[in-house]
Amino acid sequence: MHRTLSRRELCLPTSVAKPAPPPPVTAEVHLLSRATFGPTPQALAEVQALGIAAWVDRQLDPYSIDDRAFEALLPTLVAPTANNGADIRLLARAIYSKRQLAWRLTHFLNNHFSTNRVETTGISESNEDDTFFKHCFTTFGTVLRDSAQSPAMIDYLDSQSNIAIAPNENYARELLELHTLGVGNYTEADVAAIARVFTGWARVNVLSGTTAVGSSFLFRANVHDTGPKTTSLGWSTPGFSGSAGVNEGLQFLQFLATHGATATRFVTKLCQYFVGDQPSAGLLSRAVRAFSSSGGDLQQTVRAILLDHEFQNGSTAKTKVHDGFEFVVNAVRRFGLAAINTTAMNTRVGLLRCPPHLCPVPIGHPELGGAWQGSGNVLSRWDFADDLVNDRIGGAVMPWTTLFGATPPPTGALWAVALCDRFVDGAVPATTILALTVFMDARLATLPANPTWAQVRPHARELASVVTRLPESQLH
Amino acid sequence: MTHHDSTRRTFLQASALAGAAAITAPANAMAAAAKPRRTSTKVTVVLFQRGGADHLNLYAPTGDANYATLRPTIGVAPPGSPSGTVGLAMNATFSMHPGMTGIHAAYTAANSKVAIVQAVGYQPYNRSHFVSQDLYETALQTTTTFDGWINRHLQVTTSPTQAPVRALALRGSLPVSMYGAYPCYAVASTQELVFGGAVDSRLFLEAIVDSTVTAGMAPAQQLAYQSGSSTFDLIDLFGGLDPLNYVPANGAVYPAGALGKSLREIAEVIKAGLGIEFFAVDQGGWDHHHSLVTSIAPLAIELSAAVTAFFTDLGAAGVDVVLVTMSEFGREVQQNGSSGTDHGVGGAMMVHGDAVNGGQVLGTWPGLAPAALQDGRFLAPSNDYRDVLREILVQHMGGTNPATVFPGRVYQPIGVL
Repeated sequence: MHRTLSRRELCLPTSVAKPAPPPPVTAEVHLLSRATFGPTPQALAEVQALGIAAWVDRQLDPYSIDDRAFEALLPTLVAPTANNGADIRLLARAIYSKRQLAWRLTHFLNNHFSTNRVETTGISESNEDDTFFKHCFTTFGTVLRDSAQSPAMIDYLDSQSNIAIAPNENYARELLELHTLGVGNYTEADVAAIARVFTGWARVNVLSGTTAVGSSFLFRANVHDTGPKTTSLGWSTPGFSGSAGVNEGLQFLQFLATHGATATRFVTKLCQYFVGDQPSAGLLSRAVRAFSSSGGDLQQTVRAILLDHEFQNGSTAKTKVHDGFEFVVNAVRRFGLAAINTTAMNTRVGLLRCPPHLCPVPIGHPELGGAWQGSGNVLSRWDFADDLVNDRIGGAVMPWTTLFGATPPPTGALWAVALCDRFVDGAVPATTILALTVFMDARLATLPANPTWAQVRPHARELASVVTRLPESQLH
Repeated sequence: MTHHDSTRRTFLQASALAGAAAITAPANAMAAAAKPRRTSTKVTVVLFQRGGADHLNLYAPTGDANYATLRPTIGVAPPGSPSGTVGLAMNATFSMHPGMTGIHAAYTAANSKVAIVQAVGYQPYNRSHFVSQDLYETALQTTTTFDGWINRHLQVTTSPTQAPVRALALRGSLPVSMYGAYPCYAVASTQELVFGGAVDSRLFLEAIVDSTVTAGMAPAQQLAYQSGSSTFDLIDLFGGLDPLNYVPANGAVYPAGALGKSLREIAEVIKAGLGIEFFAVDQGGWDHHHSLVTSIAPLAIELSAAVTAFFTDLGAAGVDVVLVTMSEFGREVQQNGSSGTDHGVGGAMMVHGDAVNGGQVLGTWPGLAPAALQDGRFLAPSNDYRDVLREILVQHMGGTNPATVFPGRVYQPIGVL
């Protein structure tokens, strides 16, 4: 229903027959836009100093990165036991941790093994995040077991009430469909059999005195179905009694973790997260091979993806839509906003509809961009951007002089380029740069010569409000 | 290109926007320009009960002797029972969940406009939430392509009023039923259709979005431009509405919560005569693997109160409106060990509208006898959801291409309309 305005109508130069394509995003910036929650000048300097491969390897070894200053700050932000504790801790880590890649992967795993804190507890979500972080560069089998035994998952998918006399299929079904094999690779009878395998998987409160301060995995042998189970998958068990009954589930999880269908499904999602909505068949097969040949080693898999030549060549740069969480964190990091109120910022993440521990469905928030392009989602990002550059969120104050110098840039052209470089890596069409230039020049023209920051700032906010809402700003 | 649109664009041109120091166009002038003529359009509202609603506790077969045996502690009790969740009588076999007083009243009224189709589904069935939601929304036999049934209908028809927007989802993103080549729109709340910030910033951003040459860009980048453009379309189209201060008519009282809010907003849009033919709205939270009795009651109450308020509010405008509910599956007939129910097969659909053959439970009822159950565990899907949708599409919306919209389906009349 839209007609396209001519450049004349836009007061844009008509001599440009075809707009110059936006400047390519450098390999370093592209890497940071995916392997971190948003490029910062410090991170860029690190990549440039170390080189891409060495930077990736350093990030793949998160404990080699000193993050103590930030981790010491974390407990002052929120208690992990609070209802929204896990949300705020994950948000703060995404913004401020130097172990960016590990938190990126943890963010992915938390969503892959989605749980909803309305049906769990804040502390079990916090603990689950911490466990995923600790093990994110071990094997898929390890994190699959972490998830299966996580009190959050046990509450969320009803393992707690899955007992021999009345199996509950909730966990078994989502384990097969969402966490591992995917639809089409198992039968309904398998779901029923696997529900029996996991009977007795439960959790128990951890007490401090008489107060529950968390919970931990507990296998209840007395409600475990000890009979034999067979599946169409080529896996069966004679059934074990007593405390050995837990081994049925553990063995089956290991079977799933190394199954070819799991490799395909999980690695495809991982590539959608790091590379693009439709990763090429070549990249995908190389990533699946890295996963399968290493026994599901996530460190080697992520390394293979990020160092793949098809990732490196930038062909997928600026093609991933920021979900709401990513948009918020990216903006805060790019503008270098310090001392924000993470509770207020977390509330805004909720308005952008993808809070990490509140997904209403077990499939998790979508990885594909189309889901985040509805007008409501677009507007929620636009509103956030406008509020952010106008200092209306959680005490966050735009550090204009840090970003653009003690003296405001004197021309519209300098403003347009500086803001686009900062927020969109310069990846906007030349026509847009020109339009932004004219827009800002018209405002600067209303000010006296050598204007102060106080005089320029309202107009800088106007321009920033446009730049942060550009189509390119929705992408990374 | 519609007249409201060209008015907006003419205004933009006149403003020579990019360099304008200040554009002082009154917002209300734009809102007035955005208001198309009032027309009467047939409307279908699709209400999706996400999670797999336990229809055996919403429209409960309390007259089936097997029901109480299979659901000894969670089942709905027959009307007149001294205790428990006592159902509201529908007919000799069925009673409605007691929380659904409004819908029950409409169902039992003279010239009833509410019909229930029980034992709805498709074969071969699928008990995955996500696969089955996709099937219900694509109305295809497999989900190898994501092309929604609403979208396919829109592709082969034209708007009777040349409306710029024919399908709107009150959701953060499009439902699969609206996926496809025909442009459909999604916004979680019409209250969100406001541009935060100055008018001239808005016009400037809009001009950039609309005028940038996107040929040669990656598909994701083109989509980002289209999304921005669609967002401005919706802001303009809805500029004359005031959802925040909208007062429902006829004393209608919408329940608190997302569903009531969405239906209230849809009612305002329908009354504004914008020509939108399809609305999609969700009610989430139906996946009751445990504690069914306490979990389902608030949802049943909300569903009934919201739909009742919606038709009360619409008043005379309601004659053009059919609301249909669907869910990806029903639940297992027998309760599980957690006083809940696991994923099942046959479910139910409610159809509410002026031309509906109301006051009846329609379709074939296979019953709950052991031999009648699908795989011995599930309500058999004796009635195909596509036949219900087809009757709405053909007899209410005037659709003439059911073979395109429901490919491969051999129609078995149900008689909803």
